[in-house]
Amino acid sequence: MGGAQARASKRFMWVCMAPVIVFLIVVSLAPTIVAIIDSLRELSLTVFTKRGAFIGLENYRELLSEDTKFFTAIWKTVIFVAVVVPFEFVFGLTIALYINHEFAGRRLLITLLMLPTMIAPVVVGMMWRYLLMPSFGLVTYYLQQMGFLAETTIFSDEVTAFAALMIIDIWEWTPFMMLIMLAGLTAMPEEPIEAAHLDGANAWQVLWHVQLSFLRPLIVFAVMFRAIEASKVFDTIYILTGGGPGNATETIAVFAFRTTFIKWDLGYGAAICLVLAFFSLVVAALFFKVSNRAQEQ
Amino acid sequence: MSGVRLESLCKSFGDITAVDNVDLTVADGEFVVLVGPSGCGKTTTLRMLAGLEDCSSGRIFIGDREVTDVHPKDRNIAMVFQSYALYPHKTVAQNLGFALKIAKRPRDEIERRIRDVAEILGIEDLLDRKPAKLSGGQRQRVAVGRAIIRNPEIFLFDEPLSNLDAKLRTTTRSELIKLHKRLNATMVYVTHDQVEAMTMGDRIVVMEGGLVQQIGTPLEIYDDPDNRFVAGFIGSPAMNFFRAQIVVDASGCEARFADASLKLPETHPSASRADVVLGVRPEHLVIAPEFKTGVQFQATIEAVEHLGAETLVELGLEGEALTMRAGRLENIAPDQSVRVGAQAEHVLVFDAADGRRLRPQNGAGP
Repeated sequence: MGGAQARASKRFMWVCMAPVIVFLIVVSLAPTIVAIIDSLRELSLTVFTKRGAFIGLENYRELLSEDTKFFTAIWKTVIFVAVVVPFEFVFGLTIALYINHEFAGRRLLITLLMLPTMIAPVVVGMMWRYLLMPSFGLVTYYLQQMGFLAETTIFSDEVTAFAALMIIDIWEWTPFMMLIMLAGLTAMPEEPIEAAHLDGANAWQVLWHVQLSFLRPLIVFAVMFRAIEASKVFDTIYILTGGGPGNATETIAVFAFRTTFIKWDLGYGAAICLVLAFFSLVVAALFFKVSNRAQEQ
Repeated sequence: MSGVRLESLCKSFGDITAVDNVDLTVADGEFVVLVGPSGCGKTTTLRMLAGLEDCSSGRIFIGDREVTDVHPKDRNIAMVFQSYALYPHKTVAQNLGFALKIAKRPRDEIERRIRDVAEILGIEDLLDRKPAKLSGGQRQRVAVGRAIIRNPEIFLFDEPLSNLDAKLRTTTRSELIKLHKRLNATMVYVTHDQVEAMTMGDRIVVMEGGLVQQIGTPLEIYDDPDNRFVAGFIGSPAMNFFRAQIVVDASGCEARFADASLKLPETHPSASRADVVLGVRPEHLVIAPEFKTGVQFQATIEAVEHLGAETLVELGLEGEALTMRAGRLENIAPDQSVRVGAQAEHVLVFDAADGRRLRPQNGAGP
């Protein structure tokens, strides 16, 4: 009786999980297997000599030892992440601290502040594209009027193009950080903060010694999550610069896209994606380890 | 150490007045307990004293210094919270030493004072633990230690024993009393537990509806309550109340209820009223009284609780339940009809309308 029940229960469990398992096989496992196979082939849709011959790890060897563009893209991605994530965290936390009390219109303000994150990244890209247009972009016009920008346009200069992309990313994702920090601050008990005040701590000391310590698990989560997301940034760069001028704003995701869908070098593109996936796994493992430690503390 | 003075302290939250015109002076080294039911304004008063709530009006002095608008960190006050409010990510030692670290005291001094406080509270073995690894009683000790390590001018306690079990509450209560004697510090303690108030306070402040109902020593409050609320709130089991009619005739003034009557002096303020409420403490009711004065009535025993050394008897009188506390009584049982009485000096008279105590003008009699 017990055994039959256990078997029925197990069967029911598999029936429940089946749709998810099938879905994951179709959208994740199968493409990964195809990508692994492709990455071991010399496969290009534009070079007729590369017709899919098996070449072993040659794509990986070339990518990791010869391709300077790959390392440039990695470096650009690292810089992008290293700049945008700290800014998003600091701005998000600052705004959260300022609105972490009841006042009239608070909910409306939070909704308005969340708008950049709620808009689809492609729409964000299009919106900023119009704002930064060389001839009639509103922001370009005012920057030129104020003397911050010469006759050149923002996206024609390597530094300003990359800076603009970073600023847009910070604008888009700061609200996400704000929301996470605000959730943490709202859930934080009031008494330890009050106790710290009575212990003689000023606002900075309370923030440093009490609030940030309380928020540590959330901060680890939010920063790691954003770091992983920012390292995959694609939509806005694709819409605004396409990786240019030259390859000045070519992050790793744009590089992989250009290789695969502009040059149509499918084998090499698959190798890039798998190397990226490997790094993502390493970062994710690191994330879980740090996150668990933060939780324990 | 310093005393505390609250002058006409008020606090409103929108239309609700939480604290209404509180005046209180706490002497240097005194242990004062604010007691009252939930929502009476005691915690709000304490939080205003700590600087954690702004005052709607009124003034607060610590010693001779007005601190009404002074930030909590500059008041030199320590507070033990109901939830203990320990810093969960810091060890016990770090919790204890936090205030000294903030005050930029030398490291060796901080370590020495942590050791001293840990020794006083018997928590030397816990210094490296985080609060999550402590029991409720241990957390409570750490919270007290965090308060005393700073040598503040005033100690505030916001129901610090309410999260402890009954046994631990009793032992911690006596430890806090000893600590007060040892430190000779000014302490203001908030509780809703009248037993804590009676056993710990040099003086008690009974609050209700944001108002101070009475201030006095525990026995003053118990023996001579100013109104029906104080009389009913302080004391366990609570005081018994009887609604009585006032009859004034040629023979004098009497308060009558059931088959009982209580002679009152003609000059008693109740003579001008139609109704009063009489109050008698459970320990002042006796079965088969031998005295002739005072009040006597026939009642039915509803239930008997033998507590060993003493007996609690629940009596029924015209649908009302009364409680009597006596020494060990063995020959009584439910459903018995008994004669019950109380001496005149143990019967308190209250205004039926506003609950105010009606005291005899010359101080004699009920």
